[in-house]
Amino acid sequence: MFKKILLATFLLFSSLFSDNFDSFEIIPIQEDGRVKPLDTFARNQLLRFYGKRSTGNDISPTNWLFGIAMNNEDMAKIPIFNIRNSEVAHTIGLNWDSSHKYTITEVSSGIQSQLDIFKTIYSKDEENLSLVEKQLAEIYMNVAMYKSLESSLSCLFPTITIDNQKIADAIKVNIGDKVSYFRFIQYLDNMNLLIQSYPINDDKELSPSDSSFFRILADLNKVYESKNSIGLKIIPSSKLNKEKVWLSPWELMDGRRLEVFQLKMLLRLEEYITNQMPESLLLYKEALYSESIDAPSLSVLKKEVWYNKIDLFYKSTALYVFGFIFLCLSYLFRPVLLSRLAGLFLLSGFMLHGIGLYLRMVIMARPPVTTLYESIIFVGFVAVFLSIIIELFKKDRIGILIGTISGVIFHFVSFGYAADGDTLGMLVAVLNSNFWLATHVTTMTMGYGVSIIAGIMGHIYLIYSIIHPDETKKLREIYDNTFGITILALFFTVFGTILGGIWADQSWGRFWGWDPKENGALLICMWQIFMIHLRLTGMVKGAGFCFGMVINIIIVTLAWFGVNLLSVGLHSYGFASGIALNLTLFILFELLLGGGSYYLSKKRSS
Amino acid sequence: MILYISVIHLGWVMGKDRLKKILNTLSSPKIFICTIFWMMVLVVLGTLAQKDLGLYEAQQRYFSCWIAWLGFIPTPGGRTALFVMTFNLMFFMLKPAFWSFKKIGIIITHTGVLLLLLGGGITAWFSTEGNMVIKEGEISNVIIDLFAKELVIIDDGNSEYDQITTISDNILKPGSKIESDLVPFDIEVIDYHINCEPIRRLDVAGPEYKGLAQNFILKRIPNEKETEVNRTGITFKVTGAEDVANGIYSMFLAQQIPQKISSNGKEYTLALRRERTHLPFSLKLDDFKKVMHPGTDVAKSYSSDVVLIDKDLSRPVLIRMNEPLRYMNYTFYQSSFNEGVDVDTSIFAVVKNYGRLFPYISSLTISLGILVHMFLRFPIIFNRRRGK
Repeated sequence: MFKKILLATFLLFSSLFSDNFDSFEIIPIQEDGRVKPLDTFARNQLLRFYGKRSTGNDISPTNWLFGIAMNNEDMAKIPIFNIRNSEVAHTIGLNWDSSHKYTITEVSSGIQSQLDIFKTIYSKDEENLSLVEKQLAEIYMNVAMYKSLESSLSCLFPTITIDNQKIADAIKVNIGDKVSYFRFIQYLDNMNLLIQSYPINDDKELSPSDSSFFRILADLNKVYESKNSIGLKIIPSSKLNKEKVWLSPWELMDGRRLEVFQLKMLLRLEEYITNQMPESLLLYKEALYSESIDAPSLSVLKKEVWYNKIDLFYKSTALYVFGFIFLCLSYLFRPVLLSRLAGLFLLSGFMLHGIGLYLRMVIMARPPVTTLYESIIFVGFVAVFLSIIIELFKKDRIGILIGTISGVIFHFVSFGYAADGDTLGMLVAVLNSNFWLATHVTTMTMGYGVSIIAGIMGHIYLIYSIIHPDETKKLREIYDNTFGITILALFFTVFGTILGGIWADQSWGRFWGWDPKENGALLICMWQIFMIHLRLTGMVKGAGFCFGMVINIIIVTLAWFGVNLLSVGLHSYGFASGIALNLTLFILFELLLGGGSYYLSKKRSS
Repeated sequence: MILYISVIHLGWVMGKDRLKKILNTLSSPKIFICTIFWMMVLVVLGTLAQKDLGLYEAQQRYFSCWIAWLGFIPTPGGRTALFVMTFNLMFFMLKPAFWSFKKIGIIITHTGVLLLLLGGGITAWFSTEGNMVIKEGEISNVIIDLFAKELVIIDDGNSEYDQITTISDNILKPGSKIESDLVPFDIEVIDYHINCEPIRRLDVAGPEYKGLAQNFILKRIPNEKETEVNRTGITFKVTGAEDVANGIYSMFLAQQIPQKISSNGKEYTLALRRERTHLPFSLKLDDFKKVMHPGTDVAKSYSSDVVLIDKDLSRPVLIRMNEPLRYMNYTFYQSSFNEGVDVDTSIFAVVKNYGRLFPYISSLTISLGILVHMFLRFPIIFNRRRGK
């Protein structure tokens, strides 16, 4: 069985090594302070316009992006603007239907017809905007972004026909050739000389040569209008630039001295636009890797593209779901075979989950947990890991049950957060410390994971005690396990909290500042200590302790997500709008389930 | 500590049985359970209150106090709760039953907790914190307190030195009189507001109002959520100076035009400012650097190149995020900055804390204790299962 898993993993990985040099996907681009493959950039744009990280049809994100930049008309016909709010669609004169997707032409003409509304919105403070107005402003920004992408390579398009001998001589081409704006920039000195020395005679009518001269200048001016389309930052900066800011083709058109590799890259790109030959792209990459100082690692770029395409976390979710279904079936018939299969699904889901986490670490070169999104993924990982350990020791299917349930729940919560934007973002200065991220944050999130497992175990105890109140031995066993896991959880939460205090002491000069996130962590520790001491003094028995661990889940979620709603303090980094309702519903659900089963369990046992 | 010893002494005097009884009561885990429950209530209330009150105010009201007022009901504050917890633990550790080898993990853990609580106490009572603000190219040895203010009377008549008399804000209360041999006039505080707003007078003020008070009244307004932005103001009466100078004055924090008062032919400058502490050494800021994530306006790191000057000794130091400078019990952290046209200003948080090492030791002890306990405890749990 194990061999099969190995084989499957190998097959998954083998696509990593296949050579996809001729595609655009791994062309590096800088966005939000990070150099990433074009594939990720394209997906981020899609997420912004479409709400998903794909185009919704067969076209790959990179092809879509390049299609736009090359002014491919088929791409412009793809309905890529997803307007979920019907009120917003009506405001800009669009018919809202169930699919509510629109093309760029529809949306931009809609905006053109209602320019006054947008002027009013932009004159307001951001805080005073209603939801519809905010969404309108967002659509306006998105259309602007789209338009900018459309013209971001226009300086390399061979759109200007040369029918003037003097200009042809100056930029060293033949009459009748079509050239790009970039060609003129390469011979900027010649052009300047030509323009300065050009005889201007007002009294005579324009000669044919004059008119072709001025037409070409007018054409140039027209192309120059899109000089601010600087979204595609695909060219590394010169060696003198210490900040490593990458540049877009348009930014290099200001007549500055280009580095050799920059010139080569632009020429190859221009070549590709004209002839669409894959060789040009190969030469483009060669130019980038031969001389540029901050060319990124090719293997990391490839890994990232692979990570984008494979959607590991969707696959692991599916495996966890299968595991859960098989486990449920195993209670009905063929318990041994089906529960083994369920365990296998859990294990393979766990492996994909782990590979996903590992790839994210490699891509970002930092520890696994840095954002709220990553904390959810990681807590899920820890929870599943612990469940597998429990199953290995106990072999009574409870481990598989906990593992599949927690795996599925955490994945689904994380998908909600992934839709908020790029999940591979850079960090602000305070958090930018790999040592503390690796110690404090990881320990703390492990504490969350173990605490939640203890809570699920508590649930199982309560429900089991309702169904089988007489099986005291089994109940005692679950109770003991819950207590053991609670002590493990206490170790992680206490150690993690104190490590956080030490980080704060190292960075800000105070060990403890009663900041909401700190208080949340403290509350988890205190609640666990409280429950453990209640048990020691005999004030609670099995059902009470397990109910306490259910409440501990609520405290963990409050400390984890709830404090971000307060939006005070140093830790409020998470994006939290809209989670208040979900959080309240979850807490009510837990209280009802936990409290109800506690009541019933007490009633049955008496 | 004295209380602790005297309770034990009292028990000793009253006999062994009585001592046992007293110990049993004072070390009861029930006390701990009640206290930690109350502490949790306080933490929840104090955290929620931060939304309305701001961090500092909420901390003062619920945690760094002996009594926390819930509406008009006095309840034990965070300090009281932690104090009771510490005592309860200390008495618990006196019980012989606690010291059994089987419970070694528990013993280690509780020792760690005691260290953490004691360290917290030391930090709460003895630590000081403030800011040091230095422009590039300048030298400073002054720590500015974030919260405390002082009224200063500066005699700059001497060419060699300035004589500065400072009055701390805990005596600046309405009605208090300040008389000193160092200052030839007396001051009587009329009003002192933590946060106020100068309001232009509508009527013409009487002749007794001088300076700012001629045209403005300081109106008390609610405190800001961020304590640092409060504009503190004071109104006071000066007597015993020259006749023209006697009268009522108003001043507020960081006032642009200083207030001068003449007495005995000398001119004194008065100001209300943040409390200052002078260090026995200084720092010179050479360069402040800010590095951004390329192509964005998100900062990646901040750092300051400083020179530490102590008497004849001077050495270059780099202070940056997560890497502070420690020197003579003081620690300097890169906290904030102001970007100027030519020169930047770097702001360091400066902390003096004798309890600094406690969390480090106690965290190790606690974690070790829980680990030992787990290793001793888990086999018992699993054996019970196998034994069935």
